Amino acid sequence: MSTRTIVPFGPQHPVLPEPIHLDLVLEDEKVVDAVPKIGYIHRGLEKLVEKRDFNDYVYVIERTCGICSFMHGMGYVEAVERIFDAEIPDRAKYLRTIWAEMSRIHSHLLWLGLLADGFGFEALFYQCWRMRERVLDMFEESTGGRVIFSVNKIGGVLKDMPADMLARFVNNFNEMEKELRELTNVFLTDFSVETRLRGVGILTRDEAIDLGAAGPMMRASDIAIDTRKLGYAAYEDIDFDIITSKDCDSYARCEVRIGEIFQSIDIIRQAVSKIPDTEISIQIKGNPNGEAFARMEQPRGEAIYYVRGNGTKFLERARVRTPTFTNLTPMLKTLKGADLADVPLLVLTIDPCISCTER
Amino acid sequence: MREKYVLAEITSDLLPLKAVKAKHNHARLVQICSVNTATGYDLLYSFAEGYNFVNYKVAIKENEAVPSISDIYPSAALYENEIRELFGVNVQYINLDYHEKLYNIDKETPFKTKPAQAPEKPKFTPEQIEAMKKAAAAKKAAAKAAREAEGGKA
Repeated sequence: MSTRTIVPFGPQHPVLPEPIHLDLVLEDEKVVDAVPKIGYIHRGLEKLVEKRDFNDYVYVIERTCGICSFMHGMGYVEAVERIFDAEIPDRAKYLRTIWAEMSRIHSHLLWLGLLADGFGFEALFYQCWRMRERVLDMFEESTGGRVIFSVNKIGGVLKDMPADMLARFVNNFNEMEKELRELTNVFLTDFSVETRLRGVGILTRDEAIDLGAAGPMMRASDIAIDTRKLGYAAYEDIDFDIITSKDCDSYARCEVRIGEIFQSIDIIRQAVSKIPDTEISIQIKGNPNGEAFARMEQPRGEAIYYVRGNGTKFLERARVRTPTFTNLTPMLKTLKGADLADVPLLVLTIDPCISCTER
Repeated sequence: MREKYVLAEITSDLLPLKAVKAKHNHARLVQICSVNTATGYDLLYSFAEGYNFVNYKVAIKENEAVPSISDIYPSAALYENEIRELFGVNVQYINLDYHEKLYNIDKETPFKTKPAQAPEKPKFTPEQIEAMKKAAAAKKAAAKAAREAEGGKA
């Protein structure tokens, strides 16, 4: 048996924008075990629910993460609306759907950029982030924010998008789509990219179920489950297929995410063509009493929100099960047996969001 | 499509059995969460069978032991380490045990709600406060008298 060495990976590492620590146990160049340590940015956001009014807590939960901030707000308000058994106006549902899909596009473009940066393809990284910038501009125009949007409220949304703005956004996405085809083609066909991704970090279908993989990580292991099919927000009226891959490797995860960018553009087109002209919010009176779950498909996978109220304006518990937390176990599995040089890339392929994980 | 939503209350000894049953039905373990209650904790175990959402609620007392289901679902280990470290739930036999070292937090874990503290003892008694008020008023009156006397001289 060769000598075992422990190499610390993180919390500060060039591929990690956020801090997570892994103790990598190596035998020569092969990883035999990985021990995670998290909590460097634990802010106690779930605990804060005891000190904030349930309406104000929307602003707190949005700050869980800067990339899926819209969806965190949306998941929480949907869970509270379920306690009240409130039916929000249709236009609000469609607006939530549009913003959620825009979040998915910008998140996936961010990830593609980081992946390109991870294997040293700087030009590709800049191109991905240049495209992402256009989505952020649209967010700024429609919500007033580029990172934190604060457009969700319990009972609907706070801002409306006029018809001409929606038409312009669809035009923008149509233009982007052509450029994106060219850009993503590099990820899917370039020789050097393929050599880094093909056959690396295999996660089989059974392992994905046992280890609790979520989102693109799970769908890349040929499991056709997408929480959007539950029909929350306006997804009930939207026609889309679940994107999966049979390859189960890092390339498959990249392929699924690229497919989802184009799918999101299509969903936005459908939502804009079907959006009804109704109110954007209803007034909800009283305090929540009871408990409810809400499930969302975030860019990184299924997120679960649990809320328990006791009839006062302060909730007893608000819990977010974020996709990265559940994807950590499959990630540790893919690390075992990998080369040390592939570790940064394998950590990236789960699209880690450590702020979400630690809350 | 609307999900089938189930929330059943069970005792902790039935938990491994329910987990085995869920595994047999090809369900995924999607989350484990702990909620502080007046007497202990409510643990919520959620399984997704396709799109159906099956939840088990286990109400336990403060130091009551709960068996781990990590041998049935390996993904449970991370959740169980989390609820033990941050909430202090006594989860036993976790197959991948990080021994309260998963989270790197400066504050002492598990987080407990602090017992209500006794109100601080006031610095002065009401009699002392009254005496101080009187002294201040007398001082003010003396100063006023002195000013008036000075004004008369001028």
